[in-house]
Amino acid sequence: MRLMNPVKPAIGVCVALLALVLLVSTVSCKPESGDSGKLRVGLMPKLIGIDFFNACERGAREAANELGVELVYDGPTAADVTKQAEMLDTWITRRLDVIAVAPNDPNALAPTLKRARAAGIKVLTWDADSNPADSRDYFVNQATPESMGFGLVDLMARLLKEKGKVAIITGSLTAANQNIWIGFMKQRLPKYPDLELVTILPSEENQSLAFRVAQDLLKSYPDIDGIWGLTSVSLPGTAEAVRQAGKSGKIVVTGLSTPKQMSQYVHDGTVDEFMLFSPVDLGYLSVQVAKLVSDQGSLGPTIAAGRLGTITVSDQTVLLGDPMLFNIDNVDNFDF
Amino acid sequence: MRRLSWRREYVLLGVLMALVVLMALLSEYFFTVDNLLNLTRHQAEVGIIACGMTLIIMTGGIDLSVGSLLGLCGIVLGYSWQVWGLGAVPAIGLTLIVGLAGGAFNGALVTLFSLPALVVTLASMALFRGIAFIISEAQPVSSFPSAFCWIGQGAVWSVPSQLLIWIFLTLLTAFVTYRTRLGRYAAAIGDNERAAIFAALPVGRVKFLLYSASGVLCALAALILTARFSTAKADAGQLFELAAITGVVLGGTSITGGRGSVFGTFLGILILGVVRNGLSLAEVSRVWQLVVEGGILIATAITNQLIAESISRAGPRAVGNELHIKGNDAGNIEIGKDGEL
Repeated sequence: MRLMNPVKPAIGVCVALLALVLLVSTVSCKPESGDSGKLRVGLMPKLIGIDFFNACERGAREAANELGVELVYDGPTAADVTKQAEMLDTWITRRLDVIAVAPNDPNALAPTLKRARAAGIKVLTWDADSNPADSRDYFVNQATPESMGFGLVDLMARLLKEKGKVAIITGSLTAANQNIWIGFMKQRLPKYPDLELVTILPSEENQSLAFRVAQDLLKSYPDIDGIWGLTSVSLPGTAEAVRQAGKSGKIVVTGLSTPKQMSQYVHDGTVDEFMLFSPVDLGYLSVQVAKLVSDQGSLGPTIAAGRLGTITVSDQTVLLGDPMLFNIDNVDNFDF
Repeated sequence: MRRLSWRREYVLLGVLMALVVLMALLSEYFFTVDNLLNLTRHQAEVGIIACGMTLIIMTGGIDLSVGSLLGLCGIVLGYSWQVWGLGAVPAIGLTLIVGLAGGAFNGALVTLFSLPALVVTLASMALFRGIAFIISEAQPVSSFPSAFCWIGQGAVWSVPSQLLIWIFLTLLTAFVTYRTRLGRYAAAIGDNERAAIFAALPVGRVKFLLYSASGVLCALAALILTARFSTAKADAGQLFELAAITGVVLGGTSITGGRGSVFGTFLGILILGVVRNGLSLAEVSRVWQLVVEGGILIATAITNQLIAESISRAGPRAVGNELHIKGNDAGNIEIGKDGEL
């Protein structure tokens, strides 16, 4: 038997629901400062809540503080382009001055970004680009695929003294970024005739899979001299396999990953040096470019980007520069 | 007794209004005609899928494969049109056929082998997504002609074209649910499937039809989504099944079947859209939005439950638009519309 009239609690629940919304909104809602005269820049990552983009956000906030820019940093919780479009729509409605986005799909955001441009908003892409090129004003590129591919081969050649059998453990076999890098790596390899690429294996952006793949590789090519891990998880997976096989220091392991993940392998001698562009600098540069584009309308062949110094611009692309090298001297100086 | 079933939708309408007022207070940009119309662009595909989902859940079933089938239909559209060079009309026709076939596949497994819909559609969810990836090799197809993109990006007197399609399909579904035998049978099956079988209702045929229709709706949603982004990709429509089910349940349809509201689903999906858009405009970050969405869902579910209890106390079986079946110990079966029992 029910003792109370159910309609009353129903109304109570409605009120509670509205109170909840109100509470959360006021707690986390910053007042719109459209009239404060500050430049409002929206920076959207592919997704929020992973190390890489957290580091980008830190750099972006640093630049925003230096320049007196109001930074709106938000993105979907999974790498989902439809959610990005929905959130970008609200940024267009809010009339942010500059929108910078790392698209999850090379084409799908073009209609939304063109609408933003038509509304008079300056549009940047960063980390990844949007097609066609007229869907954005500038692309802030972390590194050219050429500098990545060539840099990886040069690094391996230096560590192996230009001689040995080498293998690549990549992400998935269809990953666009990695495939372009591998293309440039193959272009660079003829420069070192004694480096022999024996195989390319996929590891699907999965660290434990990369570990197993690397273990199998060590069995099937016992005379392997060097291995590249091409994603931020395949490199630590590979290093773990080499360490457990007791081959630390005997096989050269290098590639792309974040210093935090690689620190232990650098300290125990499994990995001497590896590469990455700095995500902090990428976020920093994106906000610097946003401010410049808003002030000047368009960019010259070089720009002065705060602590990064002079940065080159060509073909509507702002290039962060060459990837940086990490080793035992600097690997613990970074918090990403 | 129809009066009482409408009360649920009035409550939802009230919640929607209250949220609109609240969001307008939170952000000066929210309450503009442009913004209110534009936010429906992001809800239309899920809303269209949710039409079919409402009827399926009314039968006590569920269709988890809708998001994957949408992805597959989008890929079929993109590849048959842009890569295999079939031309616009055959490509769109093929897409609708694939949607129908996908839905019929679910329906056939559910009815012929009496498998639980949860298991069947969980399997086809993986299957359809897999086929989409195999056909496309994970490569998206882009740049569709602007005439086609109109259905996802265009407008009639600033009313988004997909909103018109969504409203039309909602009205059509409402007609089927409330004015045809199919709708009454669907509710009867969800109310008591054994009784429906004993009453010689065409249970299998009704289910088969509904799952097939759900597939066609996925194909239509795929056309709109592809047009909106001018891109077809194999991972399109991910988690749409959960968004659609959320809207359906929020709208007052009983997840155990027997009772459903098409207009409630429409309002439920709108509420989700208003909350997301409003909170984004008010600069509430995405992570907090998820918390609020969850809170609203729980609160509305409780409200619905309390109202449902008050309705069932008001009369013996006082829910509108349904066919009720009662069996007695002697094996006699009575069938009647509301109030006839």
